Amino acid sequence: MSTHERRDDWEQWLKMRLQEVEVLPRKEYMEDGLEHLLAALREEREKARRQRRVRRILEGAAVAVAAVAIVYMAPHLSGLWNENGQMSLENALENGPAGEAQPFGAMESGPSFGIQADQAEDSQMVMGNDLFTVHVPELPVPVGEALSIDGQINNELMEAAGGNLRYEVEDGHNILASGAVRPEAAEGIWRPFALSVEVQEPTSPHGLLVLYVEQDGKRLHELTVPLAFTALAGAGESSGDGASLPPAEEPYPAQTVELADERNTDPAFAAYFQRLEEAVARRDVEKLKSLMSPDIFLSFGGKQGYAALEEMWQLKTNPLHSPLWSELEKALRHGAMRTGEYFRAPAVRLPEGADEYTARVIVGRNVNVRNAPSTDGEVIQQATNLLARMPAEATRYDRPGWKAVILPSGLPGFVSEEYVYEPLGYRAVFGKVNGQWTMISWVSGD
Amino acid sequence: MLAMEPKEGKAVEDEMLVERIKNGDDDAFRELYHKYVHQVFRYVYLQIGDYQRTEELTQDIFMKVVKGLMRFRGQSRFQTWLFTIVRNCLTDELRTYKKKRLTVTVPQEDLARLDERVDTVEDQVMKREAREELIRHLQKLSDDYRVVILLVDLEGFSLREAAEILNRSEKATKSLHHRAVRQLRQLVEGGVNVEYS
Repeated sequence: MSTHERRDDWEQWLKMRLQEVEVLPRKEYMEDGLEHLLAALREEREKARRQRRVRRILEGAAVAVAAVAIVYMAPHLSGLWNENGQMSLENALENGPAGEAQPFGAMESGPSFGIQADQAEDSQMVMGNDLFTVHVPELPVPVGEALSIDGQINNELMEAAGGNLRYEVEDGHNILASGAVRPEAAEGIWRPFALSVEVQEPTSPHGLLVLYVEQDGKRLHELTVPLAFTALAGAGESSGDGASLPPAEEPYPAQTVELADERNTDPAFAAYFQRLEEAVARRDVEKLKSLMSPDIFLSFGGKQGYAALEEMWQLKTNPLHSPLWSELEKALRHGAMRTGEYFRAPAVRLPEGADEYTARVIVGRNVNVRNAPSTDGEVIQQATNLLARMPAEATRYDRPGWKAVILPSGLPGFVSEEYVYEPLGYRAVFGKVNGQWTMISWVSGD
Repeated sequence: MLAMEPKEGKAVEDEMLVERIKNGDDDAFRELYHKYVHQVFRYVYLQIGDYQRTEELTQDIFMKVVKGLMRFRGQSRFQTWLFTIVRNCLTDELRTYKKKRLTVTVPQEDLARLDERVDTVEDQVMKREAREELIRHLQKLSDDYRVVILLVDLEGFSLREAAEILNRSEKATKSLHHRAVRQLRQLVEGGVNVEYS
C-alpha cells in the first residue's frame, strides 16, 4: 500500500470518528433561542419591506438607478422625492426660488471626502423641495468653524403644513447639531432664513443637513443636503513637520477584505467593462458618455443625468484633466462584483458586520503604512487587503493624498490615498437598460 | 436525467428555504434553524470547549444569520455563508479564550437529540470514549489546524469551500489541511508530544 493510500485510509478513519462526535444543545435553549430569532427575523423582514417600498416609489419615478443605489447603499433617503413619490429636485435645481436661475459652476478640485456638492466659482448650488430651497454651503466644511446656510421657505406651504421648522446636522452616527429654523418676515411666497451651525468633532468625513417640518412627532417635507467635513488648516499639527499621528486606539480583530472581481460571470458585462476601462484610459469623453445611462444617478441629494455629471466633473471645460478620470480608474481597478442583477465597483467586499461608516480598506499587496503623511515617513507596517478603521476625528489627521488609519493593533498610521477605499467613497453601479449594460449610478456618501 | 449531487440538492433546498423565509414563512426559518443548529453547536463547542459559551455564541451566530438573510443572494452556498459567519464570530473568541475546558454537565434528558434514537449504554460508553479521545487530541492542535480539520473532515466542506470560509487560497488551504491531518495522526498514534496553551 502506498503512503498516499495509507494517508487516505487514515483520513477516512478520522472522518468516521469525527462523525460519531455528538455535542447536543439543550431543548429549552433551542426553544428560547428560536423565539428570539423569529422576533428579530420579523423586524428584519419589515425593514426589507420598507426598502422595497422605497425602491418601487423610485422606480415609479423612472429612476431605477436610484433604487439600486439606495436599497444597497443608502440608509438616508430623505429629500430625494416628495410626498407624492416624485423626484422633487429638478424644478428647484433648474429654476431656483422665485425663478432665480442658479447655474452650476465647475468644481474647483477633485473630491477628497466622498460627497461634494457642486461648488460654483461665483454662485452656489441650490437644492430644494416644495417647501425649502437652500444654497449648498461651500464644501468641505472646516470642523470647528461655523457652517452658514441660507435659503428660502415657501410661506404658503408652511402655513398650510403647520408644525415647527427644524434642522439637524448629522455625521452618519451622531446628531452634531439641531434646532429651529426661523424664517424672516418678508413679502411674497418665499421667506428667507439663515442658519449658523458650529460643527464639532464629526466621527465621519461625510455628513448631512436635514431640514424638515415637525408635526405630531412626524417629519414632513424633509430636505437632505449632503455635507463633507475637513480639518481646519493647521489642526492636528504638532510641529513644523506637517501632521501628527492620531492617538492609538483599542486593538480590534484583524480581518482581510475580499477582492471579488466577478465581471466574467457575465461575458456581455465583461466586454462592456473592458470598453469602459479603455474609454477611461484614453480619456475619451464621447465613449464614456455612450457607456453611461443618460439618467445616471449622481447623489443622494437627488442629482441625476449625464448632463449634470458633465458639468459637475468639468468634462466639457477640462476633458483631459477632469478629476473624474482618476476617481473612475481607482473605482474600476479591481473589476466589479455582482449583486443580483447588478454589478458594482470597486469590487471590494467588506467582511460581515464591518462598519461602513468607519472602515478604511487598505487594498493592495504589502502597502506601506507610515508614521507620517509623506513618503519620507517611516514604514511601520505593510498591509495586504486589510480592513482598517478611520481614527476618531479622522478629519483632523487626513492630509492631501494621505489617509489616517487605525490598524488592528490599535496603532495609527498614514496610507497613500491611492490604496485606501472607503465604503462610502465614489462607487459605480452597472445595470441593464434596454438590454444593454450601462453605468446607472456614480455616487459617494450615503 | 442527470442525478443531482447530494451537496447540490442540499444547496437547492437551502435556497428554497431562504426564499420562503424572505417571503414571510416562519416555518421555513424553523426548518433551517433545526437543520443547522446542531452542526453549528457541535462545531463551536469543539473549537472553544465551553458549553455555556457555546450556547451564547451559537445564538449570536444565528442572530447574525437573521440580520444578513434578507441580503443573502446565494452567491455562495448557504452553508458556506453560514460558516463564514461562524468563523468570524470565533476568530475573536479564540484569540481571547485560551483555556478549553471541554465539559458538558447537562443531563442527557435535557439535550435536544437529532432524532428519537436512544443509544444502548454500551453504545453511549463507546461513543463517549471515542469522542473524548479525539477531542483531546484535537485540542492539542493549533487553532488553524483544528479549524481546517473540523471544516473538511467533520463538516464535509470541500477544500474550495473551506478556503472561501477561511479567506485563504485553495492551495494554501489544501496545504494547511495536509499538515493538520498529518499532525493529528502523529498525535493519535502517539508519535509526538505537542504542547498547547
